[in-house]
Amino acid sequence: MITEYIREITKCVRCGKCTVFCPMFDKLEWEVGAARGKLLLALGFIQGEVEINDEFVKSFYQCSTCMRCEAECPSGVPVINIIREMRRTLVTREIPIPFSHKGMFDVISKLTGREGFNSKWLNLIEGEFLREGEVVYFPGCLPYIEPLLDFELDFERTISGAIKIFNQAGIRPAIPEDLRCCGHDALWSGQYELFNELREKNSKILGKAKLIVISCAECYRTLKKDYSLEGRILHISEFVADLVREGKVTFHDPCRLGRHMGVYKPPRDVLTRIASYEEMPRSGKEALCCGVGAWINCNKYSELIREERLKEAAGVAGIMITSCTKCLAHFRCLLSEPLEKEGLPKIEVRDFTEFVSSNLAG
Amino acid sequence: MGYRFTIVERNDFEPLIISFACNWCSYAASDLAGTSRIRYPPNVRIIRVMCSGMVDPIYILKAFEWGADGVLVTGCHIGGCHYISGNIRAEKMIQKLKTSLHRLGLEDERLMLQWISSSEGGLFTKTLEEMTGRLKNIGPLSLRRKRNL
Repeated sequence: MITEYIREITKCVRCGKCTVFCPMFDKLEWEVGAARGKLLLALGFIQGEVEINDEFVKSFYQCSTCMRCEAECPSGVPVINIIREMRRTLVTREIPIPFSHKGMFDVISKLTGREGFNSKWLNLIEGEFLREGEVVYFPGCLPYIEPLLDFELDFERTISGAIKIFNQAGIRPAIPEDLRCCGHDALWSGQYELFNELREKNSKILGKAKLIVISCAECYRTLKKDYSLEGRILHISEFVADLVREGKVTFHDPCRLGRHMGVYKPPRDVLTRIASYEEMPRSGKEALCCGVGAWINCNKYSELIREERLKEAAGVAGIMITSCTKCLAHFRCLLSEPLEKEGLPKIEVRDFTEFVSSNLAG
Repeated sequence: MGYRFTIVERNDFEPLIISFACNWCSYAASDLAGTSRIRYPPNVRIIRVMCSGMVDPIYILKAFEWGADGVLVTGCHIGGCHYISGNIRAEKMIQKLKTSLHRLGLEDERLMLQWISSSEGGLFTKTLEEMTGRLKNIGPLSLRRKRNL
């Protein structure tokens, strides 16, 4: 209900930062084209002083909900939620939604929600994938909307490409046949019943998935923020970034080599030539210790430092190279028994000598 | 809004066909079928449009959204369009819409395009007989909205 947002709406101090940055206002030059004006309209509506007319409706729909206003707002007004809620109010009063493309895509979204719906384009996708599984690729409604447009959207290449990325990582993802439209448009046009219907049906299918990867940003936001799914939800860019990170190596400067003896460059000269190298935030002179020097006093404080270092490494690479037997032993010790409940950082630790020799040709 | 639901437990399923017929050719053909007293199945609802080219995908999508079991778009034969190329526009549109509907799981037989000239009353009735028969076989629209009876 829009009335629930009265406190948030009154947080607005009329500073106008939203208006300055609003891309719509830049072209429209209507005060109600930007957030500040819309919040005034909303306030007036709640107080019964502003009636709904064409201008009112135009103001709330002539907005792409890009969120620039909210991002700039110093008062923290949840602008786009308020706009969405006002659209909901208009829908409950049966005011027609100004769909583009004559509402074609709204009907398509509705049809995917019907009981007898089933995807019939999976035969066009190349690569190895399953009909159900723990790792799911959510394709969105790209296959249905592309034929209705006058330009291409590379639907087969995109979805086949995603499967190829998975296959390269040794995974066979699932594309369930009965996945509906995510409901993003239903939610943002104020059609909450349709959104709930689509969310309920999709949640049943995705309930058991452990990982869901999505190419479309709108579907990504909707599944991650507006649904409550158990599994891990990644945008395809996050998923590929993880894969890329796994293929990288980083160097952990042992204290006795680095700060004690000043040898920082030679290991890097070698590693940058034989692998895809990435530096950790704290490296060289600032490198974080493995937690122990000599077989003295290794206890929980050492382990905390060590875990922090491993997490730092896992943030940039899949393999951490070090050239000290002590460091290697201590890192591997921790990796053999997790410290906290969240599990081991995803990082492999290897010795410089061993790594370099195994990467030599011949 | 006019949602229609079919009773599927019984065997007497009667499909609902929405037909768009162009004023100059196919609608005239349907008139001729009427005046010639040719019998044809009563499952069709004919909507007269000025040209098959003015049939927008949204009309067909709405027909299926509201429970039509089949949509028949009719117009003049290619080369015979009253507005020269309206039927060509219709043909292109139907091609694209068919791809989209196929991917949604809609059976291909449900959307049909047939050119019928104003003198072809018999072709009009024959098309409807065949379409009604096919739809009776494949059953009601699986994408219909279920209602609790």
